[in-house]
Amino acid sequence: MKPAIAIKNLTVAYQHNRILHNLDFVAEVGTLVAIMGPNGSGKTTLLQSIMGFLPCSGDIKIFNESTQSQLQKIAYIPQRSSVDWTFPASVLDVVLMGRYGHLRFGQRPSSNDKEIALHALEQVKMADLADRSIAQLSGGQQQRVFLARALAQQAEIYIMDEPFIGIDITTEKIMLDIFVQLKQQQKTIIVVHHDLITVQKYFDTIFLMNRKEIASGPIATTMTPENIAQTFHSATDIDDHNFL
Amino acid sequence: MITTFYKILLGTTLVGITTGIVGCFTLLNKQSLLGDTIAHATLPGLTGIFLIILQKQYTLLLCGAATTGLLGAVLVQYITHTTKLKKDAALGIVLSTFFGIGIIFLTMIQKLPTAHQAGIDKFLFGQAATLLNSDIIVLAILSCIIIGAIIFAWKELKIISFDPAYAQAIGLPIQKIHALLLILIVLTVIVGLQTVGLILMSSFLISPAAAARQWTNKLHVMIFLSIFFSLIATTTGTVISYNYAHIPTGPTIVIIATMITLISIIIAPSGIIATQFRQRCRNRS
Amino acid sequence: MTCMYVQLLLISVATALACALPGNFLILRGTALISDALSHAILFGIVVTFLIVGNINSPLIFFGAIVSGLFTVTMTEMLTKSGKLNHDAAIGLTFPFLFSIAVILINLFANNVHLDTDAILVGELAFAPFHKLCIFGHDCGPVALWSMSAILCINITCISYFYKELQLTTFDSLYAQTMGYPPRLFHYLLMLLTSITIIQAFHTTGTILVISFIVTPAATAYLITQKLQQMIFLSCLLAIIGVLAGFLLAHHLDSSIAGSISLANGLIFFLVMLNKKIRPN
Repeated sequence: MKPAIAIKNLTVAYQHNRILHNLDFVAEVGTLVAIMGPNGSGKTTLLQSIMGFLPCSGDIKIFNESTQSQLQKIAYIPQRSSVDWTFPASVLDVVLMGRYGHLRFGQRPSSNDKEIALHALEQVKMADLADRSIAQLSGGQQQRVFLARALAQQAEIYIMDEPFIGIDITTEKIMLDIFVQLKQQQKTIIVVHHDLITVQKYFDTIFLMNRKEIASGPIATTMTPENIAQTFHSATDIDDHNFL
Repeated sequence: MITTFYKILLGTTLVGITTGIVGCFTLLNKQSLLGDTIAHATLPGLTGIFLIILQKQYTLLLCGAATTGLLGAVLVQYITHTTKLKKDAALGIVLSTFFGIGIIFLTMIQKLPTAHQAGIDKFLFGQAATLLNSDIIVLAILSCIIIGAIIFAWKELKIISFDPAYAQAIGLPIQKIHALLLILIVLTVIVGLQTVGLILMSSFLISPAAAARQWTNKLHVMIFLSIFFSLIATTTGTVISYNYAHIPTGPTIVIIATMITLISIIIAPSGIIATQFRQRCRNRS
Repeated sequence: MTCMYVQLLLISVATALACALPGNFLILRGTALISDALSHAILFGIVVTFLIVGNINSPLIFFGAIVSGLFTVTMTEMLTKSGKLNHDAAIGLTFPFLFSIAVILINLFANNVHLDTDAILVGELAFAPFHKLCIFGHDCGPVALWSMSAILCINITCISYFYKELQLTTFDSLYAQTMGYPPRLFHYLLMLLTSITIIQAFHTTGTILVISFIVTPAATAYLITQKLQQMIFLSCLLAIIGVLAGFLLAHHLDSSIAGSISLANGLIFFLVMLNKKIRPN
């Protein structure tokens, strides 16, 4: 079966610094992949290269096709700090934006689009907050709005940048439930994650990187102390047998 | 005739020095357009005081200018800190509102039968030739105050400009230092008002500092370079403008200063040509 | 006399509305001061084209001004992207430069009535009703009213048609890109709309006060509401109130209309701001 994402020899440079160096990355369909690495290892850059935001050299294939042709099938959830939450919009307005990819220039969202958006809000348990201004949301609610927007897109691949940072327990549970649902529907989820401890609970595959791939594969076999040490350049103080 | 020329030159030199120094701090603190707003905000003070006293009493006019300029700066900070509006909108609102008030006063002045009212609108584009000797003395004193304040608060201004987070962490009074910088910008604008006018002040605060920045990362070097570039521009501009009657001083200096900046951006060691060259070498190896 | 007054009022209202519309998006994007840069660049474009063409009423002047405006935006962005200058400094470097060249050119070659520096700064609204549009010998009213209304219609049409695109690219430009809405395209669309508005508003407001027309009513609306559509509508309402209050003020003080409108806009803004401070909800 063709992989959801297949990347070969990805190199990204920015103002004389090579951030990613000959990186290979594969995500099979229906997997929950965690991308982990220290600060500055190029994790966000990797995500942005997949989305085509950055000039890079290398081979990136989405379902064996070029990224441009498959953009509709990828839902990108950026870090919460990437938008200005004082923008005048309601929760529903933002989720509805997930439908814009299906619309032409100048075409307004239909009532069907609105229903899809509301359904997505129900999935993240925020349907009652549809009319609330986004300026009044908590961190966890903001994350759920982004997730709902991605769900409204009805994509095949979900790419998320550190979604579990600074959220409450309710949001965490809702997000994990949705991950399970999406996996059952054979969707692919790729997440830049920040926490070595929770990664085993949430994901099945891990991709350890530091400007290039260190190790990747099922969590059980890939998260060895050696791989982790090599990724983070120092010994962690977490118990060995958690990872074996 | 010769005396007039040296008077103009002295005036523009003082502007060059003060804007060269203060401009470095505004550039590093990303407050470049604040200078523009403050400059436009001085108009109501100038014209308002004139409406009250009906004569060109230089010191009083400058006091009025400084007051509304400072008021404008304070309002910009107030808007940014108490509303969700960003800096750009705050600057735009204050700049246009204050300038509007200034224009109202200006049109009222132009309707007055007073003979002395000719000349108040010279503050818009500057007219260094109308400076009196007493005016030059006032400007020289202001410049000394500015330079003195910078020397006095050198360490603090330096840290705030390069690493504000660290400055806060070691307990420096950030608010007070920013307030000092605001006052210095206002004073610098005042020095430039009659020589180069308020419309073009922002360029004076930006060009030399931006040019200097291309050549160095060290603050004291940057300031020296900035003054140097500024003086090249002001001297050349003054000479050209003096010898060709139709060419006003302010715009001439601005054009020269901006060219120096653009050239610096292109040819400096960290500039565009050098970067392309290094990139090409790296790609080859 | 009253008829002329009404014409002045209508021209000002059309100008204020046309300016407020793009102003909403400029504020939300944090690029309100690009209006400052554009208006100075446009002056440069007008002067240079006038000197080449020789006729102040030539339609080429309009295009020269647009080219100049868009060129400035591009230059500013290139300077910022090169990393050598931050965005504010790039703006503050470009527009005085162009403005200075324009002023010198005027002083050297065009030292006559139509481009004197006072008019540049504050516009010449008072003369507008005298310049009439004549079709087949019928006096159809001031040209300024017709042209400003045309611009207003263009702005209303573009902003309604591309509402969701402008909304999306303003709120989350990265996401917009993934959805197939190129942020650059809509950025330039907005700059184009702002440019043509400023070119036409020039006659009414002059170079600097146009900033008040563009920024202040939209900023006030932003303080009041948290819905984009309401904000746009409110900015138009506030723009009209500003014009009316400004006219009253100008009449009372026998003073500049554009200046009075700017003051009125500012006062309304401060009143709303203080009201929010005293009664936060």
